[in-house]
Amino acid sequence: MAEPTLQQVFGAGATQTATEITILKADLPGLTATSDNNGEQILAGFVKRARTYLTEANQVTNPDQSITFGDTFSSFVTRNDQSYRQNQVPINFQKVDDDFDIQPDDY
Amino acid sequence: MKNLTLKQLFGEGFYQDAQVIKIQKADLPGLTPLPTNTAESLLCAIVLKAWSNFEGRVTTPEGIPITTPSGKFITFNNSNYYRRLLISLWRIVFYQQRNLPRIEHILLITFFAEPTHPRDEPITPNDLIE
Repeated sequence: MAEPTLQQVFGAGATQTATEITILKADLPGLTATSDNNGEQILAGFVKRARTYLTEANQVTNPDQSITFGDTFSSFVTRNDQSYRQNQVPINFQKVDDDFDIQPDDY
Repeated sequence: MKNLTLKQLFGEGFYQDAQVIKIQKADLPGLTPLPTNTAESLLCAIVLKAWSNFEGRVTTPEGIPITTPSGKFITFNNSNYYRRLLISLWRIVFYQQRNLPRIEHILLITFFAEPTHPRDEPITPNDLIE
């Protein structure tokens, strides 16, 4: 199988050049596009889009996939005296560990 | 508490309008811009850029970490500073898969919505507006 494509991770309308990445807001689930969305909304949109493809199940069949999203934990939390509902999304970055053995010269 | 600005999260060259978002590859540290970077390398670079707002080491303008006279790094941590978002390194795991040793970095992205948000509904981008 193959490296996940730009469209699988960022949405069907995503494109790139040597200098920039372009992503369509219409591809980001749960985001109501305005001309002025804030950064956290956009990051949440990226997360929701990427994790529909970068699942642990897909990685089992695709050795080229190196990033997976875990299950979201939900809880309540207090920060600076205000209450919030919190969702935590684990994102796992995996790579081959080239230098895993003990090497006398390293010590 | 404040919200992060778009330039802090995604870089100085960030652009948006009602249809598209554009991020400049030069704003993403650690990414070598190519005409076709893999999607995962771009996702990793975007997450790392956002993460750099929350914790990291103090570095020179060239990116070399500064150490104290006793050799320790100087770190910063803004975990409670921004209202709707927090990114942190949870842990690093070593394991074997398909007969190769691998290393896995697990980052946690935490989104904060109002406590009145229904318990059984996931948080969507629209819940993070202010």
